[in-house]
Amino acid sequence: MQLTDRIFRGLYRRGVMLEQMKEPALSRTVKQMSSAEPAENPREVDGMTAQEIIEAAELADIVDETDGRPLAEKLREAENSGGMLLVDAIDDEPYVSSQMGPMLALREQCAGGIRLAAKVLGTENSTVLVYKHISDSEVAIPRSIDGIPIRKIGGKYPAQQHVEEELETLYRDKGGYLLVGACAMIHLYRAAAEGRAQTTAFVTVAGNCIGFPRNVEAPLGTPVIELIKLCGLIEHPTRVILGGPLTGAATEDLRHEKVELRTAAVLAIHDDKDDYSYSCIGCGRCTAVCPQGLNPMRILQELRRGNHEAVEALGTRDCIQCMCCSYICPSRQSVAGEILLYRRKRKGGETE
Amino acid sequence: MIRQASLLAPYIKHPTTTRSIMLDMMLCMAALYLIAAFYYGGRALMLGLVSMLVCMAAELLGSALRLERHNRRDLSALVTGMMIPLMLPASIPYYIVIIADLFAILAVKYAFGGTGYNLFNPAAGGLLFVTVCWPQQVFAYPATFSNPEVFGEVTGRLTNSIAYVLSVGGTPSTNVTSVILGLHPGPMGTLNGLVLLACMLYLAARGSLRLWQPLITLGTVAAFAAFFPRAEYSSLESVAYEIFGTAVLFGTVFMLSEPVTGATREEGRLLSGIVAGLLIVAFNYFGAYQQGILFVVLLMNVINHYIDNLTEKKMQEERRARYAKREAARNR
Repeated sequence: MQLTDRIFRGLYRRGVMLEQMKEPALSRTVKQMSSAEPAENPREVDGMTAQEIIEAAELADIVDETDGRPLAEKLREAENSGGMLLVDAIDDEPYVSSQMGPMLALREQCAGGIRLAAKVLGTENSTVLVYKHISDSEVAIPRSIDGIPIRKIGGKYPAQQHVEEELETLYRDKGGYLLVGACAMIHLYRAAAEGRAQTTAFVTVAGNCIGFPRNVEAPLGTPVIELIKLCGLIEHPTRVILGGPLTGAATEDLRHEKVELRTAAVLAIHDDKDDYSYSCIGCGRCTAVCPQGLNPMRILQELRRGNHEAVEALGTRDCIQCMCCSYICPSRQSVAGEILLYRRKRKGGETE
Repeated sequence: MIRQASLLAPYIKHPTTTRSIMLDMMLCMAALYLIAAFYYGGRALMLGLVSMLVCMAAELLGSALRLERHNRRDLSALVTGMMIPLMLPASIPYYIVIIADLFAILAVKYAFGGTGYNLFNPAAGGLLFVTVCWPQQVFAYPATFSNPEVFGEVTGRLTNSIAYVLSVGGTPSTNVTSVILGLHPGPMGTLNGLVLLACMLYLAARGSLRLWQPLITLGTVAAFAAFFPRAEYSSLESVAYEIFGTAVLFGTVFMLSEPVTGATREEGRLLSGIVAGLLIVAFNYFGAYQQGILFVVLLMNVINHYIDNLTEKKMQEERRARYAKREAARNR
């Protein structure tokens, strides 16, 4: 069963083309911060039954970084479905390579995990998905890791949302699919072979202030400052971002920030960010890039007028918060930010 | 990977800013001023300089009257200031330019809230005001290389433009090459078709305009010109006269594809381009004024709002249908 090319080319999708800047973190080995030594002689995993694999995932408390759900739960739902196993190592945001990096650096473990998960699904078909447009990559992305094919996702950022949407329609009639994270697969292998619980997260430490950018496997709860110390600062950063540069959050107090399951990246960035903004001149660039086909400038206009009915009518709830509109805006308006604030307020109002 | 969007994100930005868009426009118009200076000497440059200064002063006055702080990085007033003399003859008295500037900035732009809130293109509004008030001065052009006086009244002989000859059903005596090179009397910035086309390509390459938008408008005008010449001349001559002999090319590149008052969505821009082309033809063939493009710009500013509404509604429906389909598939 082949995926249609439509997904991979992504020709007609809206979005923004970003310079990926994943090097040099991507081509370096993953730095282990945990003191846990790998087991001397790992258990033979080939003979494990589906039930044993799910149990191992459950005992190891593996959480899938793709959607934040427990891996065991996801595997149990898809058990014996015979569907396609898709491994998410897409990483379409600049700097971030915390799925792709470990997938390449720890490919035996990753492939082992994928085989285990495929066994649970009762399928032979599994594919690793990576983002295609990484022009600065120093390592060639192989065609397969240990016999598991790698497919490249083309198109503009946000590639991930598009893929998830397309897969939904594509695999509905073909036995379904399961999308799991590449890091979760590594943890699954370790849980099965070595009985190790998931106590670490893969984090990309990068940014233009970091001296030695690389992917780090950090124990959960490690202070973020430790990660920055490990990779070294060469300049005083103006901001430290947890997550990707488009969707991440800038830390307010670095001392209290710790590595969590969902921390994909720690970026120390120095920028002379211009705070000045212009009034919207209605150039329509945000509308041209919005992957959901919304009209962000119109929504912003109505938001500022306080016309909430019109805001809803414009389809604001379809916003996926990819931040493309804010990225492209030549007037430097925080379009997506204001929409996000509105939605949070609205959500809060509904639950009250 | 889970995306946790934050309010301050994104932390990287596309390098294009409103300022750089305006600078691109100014760069293009600077090229037109050089051509105008070559044809008409120092007066062309002086008109531009005065107009820019007046527009900037009017901008400061406008924001002061609205009790707002003026954004010093906003260059849109300078763009308006550069655009106004380019659509006027080089012999135009300075006071008319100043009045056009003041009307454009204070009446068309700041009365509605300043940059980005104007309903009409300020330059087109200001130009139309002086066209209606002083048609004699606005439609009398000095001959190319006649070197009008830099300051004061122009004493040289003034002639009619090709647009006038066309509008009364005559045949221009200028040959096609001279028309394309701008060696004919006309508004000082709209003459050299080659430079204007180069400006269009530059702006398209910089992403300020979609190339096909002006091309559709010009194509519509050219098609009508080719099939229905206004007098007894060949199709080729007719196309050259209508596109390069009038201000149509300048208006299409610099005014109709301007962002604030233009259509937002691609489909809308397509429709807007065709409608604009038809309107230009209508105004040229049946209008009372020889430069119908200004009326078309203002009309399009209004029509674009309707077009935007239309495309937005259509898009909403499409999206709703898509989501309903996906929802149905999920529930099946």
